[in-house]
Amino acid sequence: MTLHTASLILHIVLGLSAIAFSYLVLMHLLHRNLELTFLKRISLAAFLLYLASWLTAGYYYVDFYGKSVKPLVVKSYPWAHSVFMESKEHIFLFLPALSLVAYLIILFAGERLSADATLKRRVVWIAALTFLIGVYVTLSGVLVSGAAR
Amino acid sequence: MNDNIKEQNKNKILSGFAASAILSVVVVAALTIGGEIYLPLKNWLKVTFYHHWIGKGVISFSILLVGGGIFSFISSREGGSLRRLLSLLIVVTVLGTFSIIGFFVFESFHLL
Repeated sequence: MTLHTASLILHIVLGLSAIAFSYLVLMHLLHRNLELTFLKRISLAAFLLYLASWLTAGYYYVDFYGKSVKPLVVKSYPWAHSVFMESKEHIFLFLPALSLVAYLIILFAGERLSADATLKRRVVWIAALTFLIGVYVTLSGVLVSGAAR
Repeated sequence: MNDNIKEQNKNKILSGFAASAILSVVVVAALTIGGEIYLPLKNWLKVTFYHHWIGKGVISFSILLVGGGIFSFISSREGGSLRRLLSLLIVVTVLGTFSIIGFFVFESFHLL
């Protein structure tokens, strides 16, 4: 197995895990009684996993994708690169910011969330956006991989 | 330190990072679309950071962390301000997402 293949596999595993944790954060925020210790752990895990997925993606994308995969995709399905790869790689950059804000709110204002319905709604929206953007990024990755094959 | 001051300090930190997240999202969207329209900007990112995507990542993450620290000092202690900043973060993220996807759809199919 080459280092590029290993980084791609790690990127996929870490990214999917981050999205799974984002989904967990969203679902647990919707509970009436919040389990704060658990929420703090899973929201921190989501943030750290997005960072780790970002680093492994960066190595694969910068060092391998442009030279070896992009020409194949552009030749057969140019829109797969020009729409989905381009939007995926840039929208992904929103995820560390959103997941960090969600984690910090749960960490510093978690105890207020049950009493402050407005603040809780905002965090739910941020968690939902993080999850939905993560799903879009994942599906775009699947589409680009399919186009390369 | 009484509980009220602790809560106000927490609000300042949260408002600071909400503000830096807003700025980070706006800068990513601006550099992405701006770099495609004005190629010298994309080339500057490539030359400075080895790859334009690394440049956008380094700039956005620096804004998030450094900006979060700086904005925490100057942010309001009020909970209402935090809620408004979070609303703005949601709006800016939705707009940024659709702007980037829309831009690449239009550019790809030569609709611009």
